[in-house]
Amino acid sequence: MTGHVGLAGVRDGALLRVVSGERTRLETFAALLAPLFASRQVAWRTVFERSGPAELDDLMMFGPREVHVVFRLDEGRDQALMCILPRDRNIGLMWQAARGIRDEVVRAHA
Amino acid sequence: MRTYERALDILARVESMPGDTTGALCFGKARVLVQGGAICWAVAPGSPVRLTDLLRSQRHPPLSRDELEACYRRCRDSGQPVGEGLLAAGLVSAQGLRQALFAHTTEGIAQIAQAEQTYEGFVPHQRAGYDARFVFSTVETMVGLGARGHLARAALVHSTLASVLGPDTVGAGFVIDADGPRVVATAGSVGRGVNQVMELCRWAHSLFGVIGFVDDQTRVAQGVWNRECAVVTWWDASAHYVARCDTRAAATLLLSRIERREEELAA
Repeated sequence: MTGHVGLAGVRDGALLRVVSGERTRLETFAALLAPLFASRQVAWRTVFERSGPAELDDLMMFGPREVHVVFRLDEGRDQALMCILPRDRNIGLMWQAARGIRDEVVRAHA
Repeated sequence: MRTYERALDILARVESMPGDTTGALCFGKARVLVQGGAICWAVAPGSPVRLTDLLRSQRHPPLSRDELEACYRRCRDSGQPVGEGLLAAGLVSAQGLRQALFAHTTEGIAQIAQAEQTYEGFVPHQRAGYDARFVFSTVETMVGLGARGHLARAALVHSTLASVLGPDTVGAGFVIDADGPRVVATAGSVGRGVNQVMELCRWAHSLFGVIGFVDDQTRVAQGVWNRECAVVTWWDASAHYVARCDTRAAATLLLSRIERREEELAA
């Protein structure tokens, strides 16, 4: 299963979808991620400070056609990965696919 | 601070007391009687709800005032607790008595909160004398307070929880009003106390604030709460829901039940 990949972050209290909505090859995504990871402007926690203490690590959101999965990649730097996968009845398969993407991104930037 | 929050503060105060404490929390002329971390009774001057009326309405047709008053007099003369006397005389069932006491207690606490009565201290009682069948946990009382004014919706939410929650899963349903989340139904032990239940509900509600930005069609989400357990949260036309699942399998089962329920409702 392949899916869309995006980076979600918060800047000035607004959730950003830096990359999403198009099928992106991981290599392209990794190239896009590099400068963003180097920047400390992507502050993931800001929205939670506003809305209460929340942990969004391993969050799966079920839309009508797509499933969005958010992983925190680097807690120290408050960066997170959002995968957008086609909706499937097999939730375990979607988790597996999302984790695979997460692990690849983590390895690419290790 | 709003009325519901003030009422929850009273419940949190009860929870903060040592487990073996029995006595009365005093708020002006109002009292909340506690025993072993549970609430036995609350009474507030000027409350529009009278216990007599609540007891009468537990029967159909309603009990006559004369019957109730005769029982009160017998109990007063013999020293028997009124509840025991009502049960012994067969005037009310144990369930009916519990319902009446619960309604009176939640109303009393709501009145104390609404009147912004200041806590003035605790008067200990020498011994615990309340029948355990007729005392109420703080979370149960919180649900009763939340359901005030939302009784039909609370019944619907309770039915929804019962239909989708499976093994190893507990949950709560809440509505959002000007006071924020109000818990109207629970299934199982959702939290260790009112603050933990409210924290979970606020967290679930705040998720949709974030999720709505990503995909405003999203009605269901699964996450990890406090790095402890899988949480599934969803909403429908009646309420918001949050469920704690002990295992990922339990969360997956719940998600599939929610999905099936949505499909059935849409069909």
